[in-house]
Amino acid sequence: MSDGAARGTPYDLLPDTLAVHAGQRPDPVHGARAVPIYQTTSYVFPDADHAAQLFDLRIGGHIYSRISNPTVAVLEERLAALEGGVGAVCTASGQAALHLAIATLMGQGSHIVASRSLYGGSYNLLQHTLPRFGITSSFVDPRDPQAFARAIRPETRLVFGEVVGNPGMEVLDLEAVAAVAHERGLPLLIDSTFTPPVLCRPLDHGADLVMHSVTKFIGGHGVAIGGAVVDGGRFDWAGSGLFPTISEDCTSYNGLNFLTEFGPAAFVMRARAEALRDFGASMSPANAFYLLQGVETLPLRMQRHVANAEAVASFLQAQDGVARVNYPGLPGHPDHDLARRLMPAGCGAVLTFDLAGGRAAGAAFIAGLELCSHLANIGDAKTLVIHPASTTHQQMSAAELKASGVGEGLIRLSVGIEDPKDIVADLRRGLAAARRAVPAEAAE
Amino acid sequence: MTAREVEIDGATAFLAQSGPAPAQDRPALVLLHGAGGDHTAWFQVARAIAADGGTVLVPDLPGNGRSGGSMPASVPALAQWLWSLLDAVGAGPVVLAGHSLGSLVALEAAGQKPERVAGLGLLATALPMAVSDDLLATAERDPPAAGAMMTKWAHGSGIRAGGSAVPGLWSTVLDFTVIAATRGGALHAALKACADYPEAQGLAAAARVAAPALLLLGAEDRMTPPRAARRLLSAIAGAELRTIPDCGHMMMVEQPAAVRAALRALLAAARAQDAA
Repeated sequence: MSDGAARGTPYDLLPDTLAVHAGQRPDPVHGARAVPIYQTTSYVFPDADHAAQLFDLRIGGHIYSRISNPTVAVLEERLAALEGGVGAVCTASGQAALHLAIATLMGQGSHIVASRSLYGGSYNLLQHTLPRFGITSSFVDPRDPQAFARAIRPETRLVFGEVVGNPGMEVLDLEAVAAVAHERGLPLLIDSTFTPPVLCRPLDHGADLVMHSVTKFIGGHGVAIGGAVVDGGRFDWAGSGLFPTISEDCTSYNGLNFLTEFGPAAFVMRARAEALRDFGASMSPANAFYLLQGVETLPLRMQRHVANAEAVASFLQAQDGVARVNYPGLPGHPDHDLARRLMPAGCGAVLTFDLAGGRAAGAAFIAGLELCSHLANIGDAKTLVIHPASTTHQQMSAAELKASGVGEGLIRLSVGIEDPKDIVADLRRGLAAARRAVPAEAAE
Repeated sequence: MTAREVEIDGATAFLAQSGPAPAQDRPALVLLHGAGGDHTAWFQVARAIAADGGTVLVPDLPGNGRSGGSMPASVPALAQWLWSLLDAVGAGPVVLAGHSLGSLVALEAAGQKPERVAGLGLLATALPMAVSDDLLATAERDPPAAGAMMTKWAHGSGIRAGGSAVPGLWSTVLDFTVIAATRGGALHAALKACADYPEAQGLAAAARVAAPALLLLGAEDRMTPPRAARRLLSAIAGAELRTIPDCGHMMMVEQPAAVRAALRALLAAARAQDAA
């Protein structure tokens, strides 16, 4: 949707073409046009010298599918191409991608400054699990870049947020938060799962690393779990001086210095060579194949997802019983202007709305739906619905829920690519059920 | 690999050394990057060849990568800088191999001190090495935009789609990022050095080369197309020509195995001649 091949960019192909082709040449042995599934754990070494060269990262190639695999590598290159990065590492899930980035950058005693409007799984990892391993986090208002600055400590090693917060739908001012991070020698990692690269390329707006749950819109069909970390290649690791894993000699590779050796690809090379090798949360080749099918139609699907989401948001806004619709694409959204700047082709297909009747209305709404599926996922071709307070965010206390913008009657919709008239008809059914459960006078 | 820094003409010169320190009794392989590049251009080549037991030296040209100073817009000045650097690190005989601009620097350096050169590898080379006025003007005005133009032209049709030899790397942005990071007027000066190097001077240098020589060209190279190296090939006595199929200008990225094989063959020829 954006003109990636315009003068001033190095691209020879436009994004919609990259989504179909990047990372793959036709199979040189059999001529297969589709990406073959290299369903193999390991790769024959022509001789002992070649094996030694591979293990020591002196040459490129595959050793063992926990570290790299030809099918997965196509997806990695394709996602790097679409995001405008120097490379990518795919992982078993989006959670694994976040962990891979963190584990590559820091260790015990480090600290992360994160938006407080995060996917619940990310929040759990940062707030509850990583502290056991000596990594703590502070959570700040995503709408206040200076709040990120105030939370940075000497031991901080990462600033983290989402383009569109989950489930509050706040839009992060990427340029402003990147400036805050860079001022303190820190990289900005963006979870862009809600806003795949045809909608927003965070690296173009100052982010240094981008991660995805590829499971969602990129895969697009709800059939395979996967994640990815994309390296922008422009962060000044040497100038920062805070990242010995990148800029100092590595003991597990015979003293190899990743920054000196690989330059702009130092982070992504280290992430694969160490964190993927050692933690082992790799993507399977079969899943990479399924996810690649999704990438090919990503630009087309996102057009429909966005058009449907805009139609649904407008519909919901006009309904009695809906107290508030949260969608950055709506002119009334507090971040609408910023959203349009970061996402000119549309603000994604996830939106939330508050039912005036609270928890009881929420339960009745979901029970009244026939077409929309009640489940814990987003980014499927099918319209999905969830009640965060009782599912994705149920580990949070009432105060934490409030801080994350999750009301008891909040419903999150991931708008699919069905005919929008059918989606709206189903939402009418749900709203009618909610009204029957909690009559208007009781809801007020 | 060891990062080394020495001072040349009052500025820091960076050199990545793989293998043992250079010595007087055996040749070191010296790898020279092209315009807008730095030592990382050779990351799929340098340590792999050093694993055979020799010394591989990979400098950043002045004003590029980690080397300070400013890039001289002249191939002879770069060749003199190179000899100063090699003397400063105690190198004796050398096999000089350069890519693009680096090939001209290697050629000119071989012409300046043929007695020091045990082998000469000219990768993605041309003589004269034409640079379009549009690219020169863009490099002066807007180096990242020039880097984008160069990246588009430099990659052959295969690597433009991807399929990196190193899993997960996207070569288009990786190569562009290195060029876009060049400082000051380094990119413009480097391209001007290519454009201004006189054919006659290059042919004179070629005539002085007595060591084994290799021209390694990409069959799909649009920046230094194989036909642009014909006169140079015939000017070096006994030079070998190798053309890599499915390869554009960025051969160390596009066909690293072929580059390694060709440079190993050059080193073997250099050793054989030395033994004879």
